[in-house]
Amino acid sequence: MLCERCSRNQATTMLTQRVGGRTVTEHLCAECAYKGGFSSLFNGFPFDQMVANLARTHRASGKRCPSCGSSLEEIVESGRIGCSECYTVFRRELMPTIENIHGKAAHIGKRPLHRKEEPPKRLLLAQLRDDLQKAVQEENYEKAAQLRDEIRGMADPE
Amino acid sequence: MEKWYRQPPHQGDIGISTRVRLARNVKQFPFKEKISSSGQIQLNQMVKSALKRMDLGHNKFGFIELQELSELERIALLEQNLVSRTFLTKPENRMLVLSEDHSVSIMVNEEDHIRIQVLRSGMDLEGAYQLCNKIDDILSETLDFAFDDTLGYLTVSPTNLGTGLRASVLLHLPALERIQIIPQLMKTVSRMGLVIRGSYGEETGVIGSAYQIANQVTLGLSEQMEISNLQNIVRQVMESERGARADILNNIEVIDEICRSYGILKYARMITSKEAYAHLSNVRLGVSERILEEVSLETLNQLLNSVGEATLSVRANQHLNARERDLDRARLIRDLI
Repeated sequence: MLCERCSRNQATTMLTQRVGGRTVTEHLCAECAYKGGFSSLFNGFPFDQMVANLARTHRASGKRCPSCGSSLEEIVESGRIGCSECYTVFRRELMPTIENIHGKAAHIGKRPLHRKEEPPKRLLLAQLRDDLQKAVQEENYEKAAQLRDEIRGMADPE
Repeated sequence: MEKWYRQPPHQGDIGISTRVRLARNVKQFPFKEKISSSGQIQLNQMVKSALKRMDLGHNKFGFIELQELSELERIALLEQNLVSRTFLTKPENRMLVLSEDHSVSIMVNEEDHIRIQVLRSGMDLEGAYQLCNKIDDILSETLDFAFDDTLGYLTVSPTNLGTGLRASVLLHLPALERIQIIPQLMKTVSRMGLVIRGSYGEETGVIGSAYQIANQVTLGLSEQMEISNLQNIVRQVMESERGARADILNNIEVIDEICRSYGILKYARMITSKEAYAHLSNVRLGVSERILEEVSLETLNQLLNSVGEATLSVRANQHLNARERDLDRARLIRDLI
């Protein structure tokens, strides 16, 4: 069944509302449901047009996350980020979408326990991540892979 | 051990249940789309050994490999809100950690690596969050969670970035529904960064006048702020519902409907789930407003969690057809009411 609002995508969400005393039911695709604010609370997220356009530009460059191999195009298509490194590698591209959802904001909530205890390692990792992002931007994948291994090694002492 | 829904509900006249969920990912593994089977198995083991250190008092954790359950048992978990639909799509390598009273369910290898969920009877956001937070602390002693200074906890979907916290309260709003104010309420609530939606049956629409109000924004707010924002709005909605109830209960037609529903539940020999939810809703209104003294809210909460199709079949230990389910459902309701 096709979405009743855009008639383009497969309907995945059934929305029932009381409107003027009558129950009105609509079958919507994920995108239209999201636009209406009725997306499933926790699941796949439809990226907006801006990121979709960026993804198309990216296809030409072939930029991929050195850690999990995701391209921006794959992320946009699935609505899911590939790994935690993707947030570093594609940060610039993803930021407008993140701001659309949450507003211009930075995290002020809880931090993982170990972060409070080991600030030097944390700062060093942040530096390595910056270097990694730079290496990816410069398309120096050999260096990026090296940095990735270094970051992994620090994150997991085994 | 008694299930969570048998506990006396806080603000139970309107609050049906509270749910708090935290989304966490472990840094060493790629996310859902990219993690290997061996990675998933390793993650299950890591969560299991971390939680063995946790003291839940009289409550105990059970560790369930999803693929070892029958399809019916899996759907029953969904009906009781213990797992998500996503979790059931591919049961391979997925683990559910479930406390004996079903108040804590932890999905491992769901959309995010770890989803910690706590359920509470009535409206109890603080209590639910505190337990969620404690479990998160225990897990983070041994697991290194993916985290970023600016973006907070990193999640598969950017909608959960930051705290990774989703809190929701399921409210019984028969009076606001009757005076046709729900669409307006939906608009107001969404302007405040929250979302409201009908409950019980994504496929069957709003049944039983049960509405869920949840937070939407997870970045730039602390956990405490998220919880107290939601709490404030929920309290206001509760006050409006109480006001509307005072009005509609002057109406003998409404009282009559409540009492007839009680009669049907008490004596029916066959009842569909849709009919059951509708009458349970009327009876709940009657019990909350002390029109019916014979039933407790705890019993009604238990029934809400027991009359689902798969849940009835699992209880009967065999696959029931629609007719058999309607018979069993009516019997269960008669026994408890």
